Amino acid sequence: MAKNPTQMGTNRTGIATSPIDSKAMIDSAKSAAPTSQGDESNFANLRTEYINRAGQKPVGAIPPPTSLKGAAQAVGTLITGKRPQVLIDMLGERLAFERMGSRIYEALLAKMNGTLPPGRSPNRQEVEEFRDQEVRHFQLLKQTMENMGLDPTVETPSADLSGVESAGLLQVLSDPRTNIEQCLHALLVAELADYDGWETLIQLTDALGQTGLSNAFGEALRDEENHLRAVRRWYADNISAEAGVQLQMP
Amino acid sequence: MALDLTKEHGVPLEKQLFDWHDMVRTPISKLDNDAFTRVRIILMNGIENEQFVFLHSAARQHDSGVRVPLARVRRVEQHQQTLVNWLLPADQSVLETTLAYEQVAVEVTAALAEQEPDPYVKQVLEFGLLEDFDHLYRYSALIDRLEGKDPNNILQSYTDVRPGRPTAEEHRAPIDDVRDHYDAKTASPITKMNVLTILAGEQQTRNYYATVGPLYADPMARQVYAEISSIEEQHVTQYESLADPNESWAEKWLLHEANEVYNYFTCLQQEGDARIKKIWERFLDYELGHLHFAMEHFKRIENRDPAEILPQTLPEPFKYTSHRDYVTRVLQAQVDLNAQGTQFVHKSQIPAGAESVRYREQLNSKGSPTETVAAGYRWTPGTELVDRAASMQAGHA
Ligand SMILES: [Fe+2]
Ligand SMILES: [Fe+2]
Ligand SMILES: [Fe+2]
Ligand SMILES: [Fe+2]
Ligand SMILES: [Fe+2]
Repeated sequence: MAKNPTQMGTNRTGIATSPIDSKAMIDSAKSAAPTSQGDESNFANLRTEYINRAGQKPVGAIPPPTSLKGAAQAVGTLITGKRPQVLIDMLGERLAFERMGSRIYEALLAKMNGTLPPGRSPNRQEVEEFRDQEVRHFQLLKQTMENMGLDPTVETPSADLSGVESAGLLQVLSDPRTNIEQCLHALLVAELADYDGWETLIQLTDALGQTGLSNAFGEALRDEENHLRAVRRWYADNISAEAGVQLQMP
Repeated sequence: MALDLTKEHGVPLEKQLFDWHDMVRTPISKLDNDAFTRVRIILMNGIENEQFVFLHSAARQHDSGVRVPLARVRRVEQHQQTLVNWLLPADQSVLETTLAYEQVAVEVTAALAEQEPDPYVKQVLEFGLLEDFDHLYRYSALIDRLEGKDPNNILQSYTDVRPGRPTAEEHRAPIDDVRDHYDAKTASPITKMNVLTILAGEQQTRNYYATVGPLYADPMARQVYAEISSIEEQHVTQYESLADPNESWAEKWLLHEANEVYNYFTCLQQEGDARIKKIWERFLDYELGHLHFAMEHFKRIENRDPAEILPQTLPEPFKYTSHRDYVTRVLQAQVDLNAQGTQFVHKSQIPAGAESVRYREQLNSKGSPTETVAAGYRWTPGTELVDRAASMQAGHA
């Protein structure tokens, strides 16, 4: 078995731990009346109020290109009439995600050190290759943004939010207590988003008539397809081995 | 423009009212707001938290009919603190907020040191400056290597990311952290304000790290927070020891309220965000109200004129701006200093068996987290993966 396997033992979170106390607690809660009328819709109303609040601003803005030469000009003219900020925001998101993705693979490599039983997937070489591919994707996006006259060090709003979204995944992967299946589950969430992220970006560049870009991104999408397939397989392998069954993943 | 404390009465305490919608406002934008707006918000949160700590401590040790008046002021400080701290947005992660705290420490310490007239207090500030400057570098390596994020998205190129006095060398025995105090009778008002301001900033930093350190799962992050939190405790020890312990508590109360007035005034003078500026203006008026309230109690308790303690006009505001050149000069001249008792000497003059040396050897005996996290680290725009990607590409070509 792998390190920190899922085990039977004491877990005190459920009410069955203390039948007497939990009965008393249920009786107590039932006998008390709420101090205010209504239901969860009151909660939702407050959210709506803040969403519509005067002075409410977006998470952030998209900066325009820093130079208007060459490709930047081309982009400007090609997508006139459309809203180039959507593309810029998404390029920034992909860039941030890929950078974080390579750090996620590093956390996985550290986790694998000594925790993987012999013969169990993933193999180190494959993980290192995926990590390096994420770095290359980052580089591709950086160069794309530079060619378009964009500043690749900008944190766009979607880049920022992808950091918020991924924070939990990193927490799972970097926690010394988590086992390999738990980490692979987090990685699977990341790769699902990674794959769809590239697919959306390619569709967007296509629709904006930027076929040069979509061709360059096609290779990254093929890598991501491979990542997703592999992570699903690793996850299924490990669940199978731990549960003593054989799962087939799509 | 200086503020005349005798003429400006601000808003009386009973008119300082809040509700939850007022306290919980739309936060600033992590991406679009100027970094110094965030710096001001963080420092003012620290100033309000210092009020909370000080007024509680006073209430526990003094009666003389002030326990209820102190509770009244403290309640307003509480709500000011909430309104100010809740201006920080939730997409600013704990580690990003940490970078901002160290940016506060670097830029505010440098600003205070620059204007400080007392050479010893100035030296103490410059000594602390190089330590927080190093923390910024260590946390930058952490966010880069843990999350793949660029620390400069927070710093906005105002503050350099490079080693200062290495954190591993900052660990000192308590005997080398307590400083000489100023003399309340001769110290200038700006010295007293500077000491209170830096103390507030460092104390909230210690409290923040001590609270958020365990929020990270990664053992590297947990260790780095543990190590730097310990240095922030040393900084609190250092800076609080600068204040004259012979000041009476009521005198200290006056100085605390005056420092809040001074700090809100300083923010108001330099704020570029019109919405946030209104908050600084409102709270300046509230603090003037607190100051006059404290003055009345001071007269009653001590039978003295507050003018013996307070200047008629407050000192000129310190500057919320990048101190790159100043910090670089201090770094070049003082990075090898360390403390010996209340004085600062070149580290080569500290004997091998000194208490601080033994203390630090013990703490670092299984390695220093801040050395581990930043091994070989150099900040590059876009994170160190930019360099790795470039060398991978060169290797392929
Ligand atoms: Fe991927
Ligand atoms: Fe206050
Ligand atoms: Fe610090
Ligand atoms: Fe500090
Ligand atoms: Fe106050």
